[in-house]
Amino acid sequence: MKNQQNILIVDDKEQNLFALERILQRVDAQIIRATCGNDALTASLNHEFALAILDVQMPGMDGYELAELFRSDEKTRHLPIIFLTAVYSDEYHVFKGYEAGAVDFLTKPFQSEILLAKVRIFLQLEDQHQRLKKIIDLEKTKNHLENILLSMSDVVLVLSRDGVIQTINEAALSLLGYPRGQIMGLPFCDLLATDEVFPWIISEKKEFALNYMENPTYHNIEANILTKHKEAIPVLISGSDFHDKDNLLLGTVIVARDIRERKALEQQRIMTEKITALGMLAGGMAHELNNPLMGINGFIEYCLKHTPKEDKRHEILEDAGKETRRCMDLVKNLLTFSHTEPLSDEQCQWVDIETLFDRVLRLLAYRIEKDNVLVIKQISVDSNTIYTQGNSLQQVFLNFMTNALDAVSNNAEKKICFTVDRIQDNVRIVISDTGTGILPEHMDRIFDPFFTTKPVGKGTGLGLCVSKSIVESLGGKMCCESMPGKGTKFEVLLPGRKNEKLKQEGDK
Amino acid sequence: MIKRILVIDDDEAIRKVFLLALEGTSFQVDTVSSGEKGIEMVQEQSYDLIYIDLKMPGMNGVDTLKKIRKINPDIPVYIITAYYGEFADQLTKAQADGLNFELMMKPLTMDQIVCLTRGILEGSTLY
Repeated sequence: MKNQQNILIVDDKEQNLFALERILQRVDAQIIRATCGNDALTASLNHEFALAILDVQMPGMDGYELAELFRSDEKTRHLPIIFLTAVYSDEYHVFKGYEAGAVDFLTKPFQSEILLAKVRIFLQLEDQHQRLKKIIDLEKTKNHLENILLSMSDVVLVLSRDGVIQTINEAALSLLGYPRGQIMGLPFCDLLATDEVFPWIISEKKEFALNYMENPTYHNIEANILTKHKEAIPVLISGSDFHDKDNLLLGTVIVARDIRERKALEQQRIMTEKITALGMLAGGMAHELNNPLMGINGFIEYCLKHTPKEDKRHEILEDAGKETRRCMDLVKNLLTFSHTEPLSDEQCQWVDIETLFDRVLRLLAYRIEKDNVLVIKQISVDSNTIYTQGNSLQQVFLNFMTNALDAVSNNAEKKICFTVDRIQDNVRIVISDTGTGILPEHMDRIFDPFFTTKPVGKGTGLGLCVSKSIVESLGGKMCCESMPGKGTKFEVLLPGRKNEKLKQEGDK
Repeated sequence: MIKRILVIDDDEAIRKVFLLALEGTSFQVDTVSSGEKGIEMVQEQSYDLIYIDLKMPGMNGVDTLKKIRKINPDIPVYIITAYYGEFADQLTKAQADGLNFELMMKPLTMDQIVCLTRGILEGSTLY
């Protein structure tokens, strides 16, 4: 409903006010009358006026003086004024009136039609002015709200009452990978991974009818939200309905927080716990297994010693011995992995990376030659020497090289690159191969203990796991990149301050 | 003179491996299944070399070593163990207390047992 506008009329003569009122009956406005300047000022305090019609010639405060007082007050500064003047119609008064900010003049006697026309125009102008002001205010509020939305790092979605996305912030667009135009109008349900069960989705209609106040469970629900490329991102979702003043449901505001990082940390923690538990188990098992293994191995060796080579049983005993030693190696690996093997007590010293790697190459020389694998070494001079546990690092190289050899064995191109360089205070060791690569679905599990894709008897599933725990115990980091069919790259970053002695020699 | 060796291990397989490995050598090997019995043996006769298991029910390897050292501070003693994690502190302390011993990791092969024993008793440089 449109508010009725108020018109202030000021004249010291009752009959003039009466006449004005009669004329102004024809406009849709409420008329407030005042018989002197003071009354008029009082009225201006109590009402909002769209227009004032002032008689100029009044005893005491005249129309101009009143107008000036209006102009000096914040509330009435922009009040449009029509001056009515019977006696003075000369330039002087007109000028004075304009100076006071007046908007129009009418000389008495005036035609009522002209007055009405002017009044209507003023009312219209004032009306437009008010609307414009509202729009500007709204725009300001909207900008303010939008800025808040924009600056939020959480995903914010506003849904209509039927669950369709109406408003979305930048964080949501960048997380979900949609252009703004494509996501507007989509049902929010489409963004949820299909198996998600949401308490607030009323099943048949998928309608969003949640009453946040009554259902605090709508707070921080873990769910997966789908990006444009159907990647599921774990998020914490909170939702609340909003209503109009008659408590009619208007829609739902959804806030979602990306918890990938938290998830990753959680997984890491679970992994660490698993490894610790396994380490304890392995440590306990080692004693239990090493005794019988030593026994079995000894008995086999004894029988071997007392069985002639020509006897077929000699060969079988040799096989038995080989298998026993495989078990012994496995136990040893488990111990390294659980950090309980004395190897990890190894002292740090300055070691030569190339020497370690060459030792590994010698251990694997037979396979490298048999499979005709090309091994390329690129070791930058300033990174070759590192202060670390040499035997442990050598174990890591051996694990990597064994994997790389397995990976290239069935490929036409058989190349393994071993690169060492320096990145600030770290030594970077990269072993890459042109092998079969790792399937993306295996990527998450390659460092898991006992995870292996090798045929039974070929791998223990401990190599990478052991390598990783060795690298971490040396204060380093390790990561892997792989393209199925193209090859795999393992990168190890070890803290490696430069050898001061060597550096000084270099400086000379 | 025949050199005498004592093996103290609660695991029969280990005792047997020592016996089999040193069969045919000139050494005489006695085996017992506990630290307590080992100490009795050491009190009764003199040995030239003692192998002790670390983790045993009753008296463990370190305790046995301590008792033996009271009887004879000089016999070479080798503590043979699969896993010394939980005894690391005791071993370090024993070493700090001046108890003389060596530590060997299980599993040992027969060759290793023979070479080690010969090395100690005959001064052989094989091992």
